[in-house]
Amino acid sequence: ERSAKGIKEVAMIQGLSARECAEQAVSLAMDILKKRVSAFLTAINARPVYTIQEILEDRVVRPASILVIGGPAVAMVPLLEEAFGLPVVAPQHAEVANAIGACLTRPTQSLVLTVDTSRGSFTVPGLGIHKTVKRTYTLDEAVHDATTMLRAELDRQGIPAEDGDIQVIQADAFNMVEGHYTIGRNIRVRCQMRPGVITTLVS
Amino acid sequence: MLTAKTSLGIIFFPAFDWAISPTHPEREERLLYTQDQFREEGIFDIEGIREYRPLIAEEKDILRPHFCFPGVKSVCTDSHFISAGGVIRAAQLVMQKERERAFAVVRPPGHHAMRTVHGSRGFCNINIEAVMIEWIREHYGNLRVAVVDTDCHHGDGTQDIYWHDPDVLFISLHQDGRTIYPGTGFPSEAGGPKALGRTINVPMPPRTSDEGYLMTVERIVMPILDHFKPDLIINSAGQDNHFSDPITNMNFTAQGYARLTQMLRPDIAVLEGGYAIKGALPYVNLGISLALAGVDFSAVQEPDLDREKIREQKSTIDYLAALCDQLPEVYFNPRPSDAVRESGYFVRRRSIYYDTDDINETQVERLKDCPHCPGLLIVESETPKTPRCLGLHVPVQGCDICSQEAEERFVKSRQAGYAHAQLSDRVTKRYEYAK
Repeated sequence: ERSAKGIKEVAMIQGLSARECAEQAVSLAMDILKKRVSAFLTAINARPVYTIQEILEDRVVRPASILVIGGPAVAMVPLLEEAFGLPVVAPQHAEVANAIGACLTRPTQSLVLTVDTSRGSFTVPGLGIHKTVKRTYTLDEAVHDATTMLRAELDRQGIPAEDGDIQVIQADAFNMVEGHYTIGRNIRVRCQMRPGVITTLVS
Repeated sequence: MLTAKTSLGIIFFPAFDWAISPTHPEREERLLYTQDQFREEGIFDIEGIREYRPLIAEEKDILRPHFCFPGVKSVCTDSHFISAGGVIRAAQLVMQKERERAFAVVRPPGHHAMRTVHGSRGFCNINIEAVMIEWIREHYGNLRVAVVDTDCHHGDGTQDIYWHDPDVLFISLHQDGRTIYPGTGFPSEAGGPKALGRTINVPMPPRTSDEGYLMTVERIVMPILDHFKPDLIINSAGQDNHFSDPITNMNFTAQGYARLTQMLRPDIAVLEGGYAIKGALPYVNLGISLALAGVDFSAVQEPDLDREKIREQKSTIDYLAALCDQLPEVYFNPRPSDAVRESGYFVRRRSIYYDTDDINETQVERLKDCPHCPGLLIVESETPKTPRCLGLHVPVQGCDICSQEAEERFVKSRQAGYAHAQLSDRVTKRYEYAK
């Protein structure tokens, strides 16, 4: 009722009928959505990469269908289908899907370990750990230490973690070079509790 | 917030997973500190500067400027296709006017790769500038291009590829070849008989610093560029003239490089050498990028810079001043060619050493003395491993007569006893090997 009245008021100012005004608003909204989605996809696909392996393995993200959730999701299905030319699905309970997701999401946690073997420094800023390591410390040891520390931290917080829930998302080791010579290695390991849901809701 | 006066695209591809060998100067960590510097200085936060990823070059992109024996895949790894694809991306950005300028910070480099390729010379397999220029000329017509090579080593590969091309001006500024690899790049090397004065070599004494270097750019390079009026200026931006470079003997600084870039105003810059991966590359790359974008670079300075210590001696400046008086003559009044002419062809017999891969190539090059175009180029080449190779190149300005002769020779190549034959006909756009 109220929105109908509101649209009528805006339409009057523009000298349009309420229906025309509403249609123009919807079509403008779809244009904006399309532009944003396409910019987002471009940004994902143009993300710089720095290794040959990543370039060769490159995958182009191209959506095949659209899932729409939130209050007005059901009403938007036909509009989105027309705007994007893709199948659009509003799942069951679309209007409260975000709330359900928030309840079921598993708590996650990540950890970053950096090692500079030329200085012998070993740092986990998130846990306030600073210690020394030997110059021969390797990337394999770093991956092992980082995942072990993350598991201990999860245990401490009482977050259940199965085997395979801890993911290593970055593991790099670079030689540091001065003039002609390697003076040490710079190691960076990032691992996380895999994001996901704790349980599924059977309706 | 900083805004670029000139929009700039940077293709940054450090190839962190490729090296010639673990301790070779052209190593995987070469651009690591540059990456950190770009991030810390927030270069991609400057309005108007954007980062792009490279394309992967195709075989035909490589075969436009090159003869690869026995085949493209045998002389190129994935890294070479990507570094060549990086410069093609740079060219696309500029030619399609998405960006006003582009800087390809990619590796491996390319300016020692000559037209004929059997392997790696001076850390280079594929001449990425030439791949880019020929990509541009294939898609946008025969533009006039100037290549200014500011790597510390003579750009002998680029010189070889454009030796006979009157529409590509090649100027190389480098440490005197009597004191450094590859031992060439003297003023007497001034271009082939059909492109005299289109190759300019400026050898500089070791320990030349900012004052001397910038004087030669101002007094030699700029007047020649003004006269040549190129459609495009390419800078082979090697960074090994830097005072901290471990394999050269020059005293140039990041400020010097930035001022050089500001003077030259290249449309596209391409990283070449530069092996002081901590002391020079981060600062020089930053200086060049800011200068390309028209952003104030006055604060870019190496932490260990001591201007007094690296200043050149007066004798160096005097020597360079004399060079500045004489060298423009190479372009404006070139000496008559001493090329050897044998029954309608100009002939060069050469032996070429590939230092990185330890290959000895012997080569006979024949350029058809054609009245209509720069002429069909015929290269007979052999190495102990790959004997009896034939390369046929019809230039981009080529005529039908040259194109036809190339075709006839190509078809008969097997019969004539060649084990490998490659045609690269820029007129018909055919790039292939004899079956």
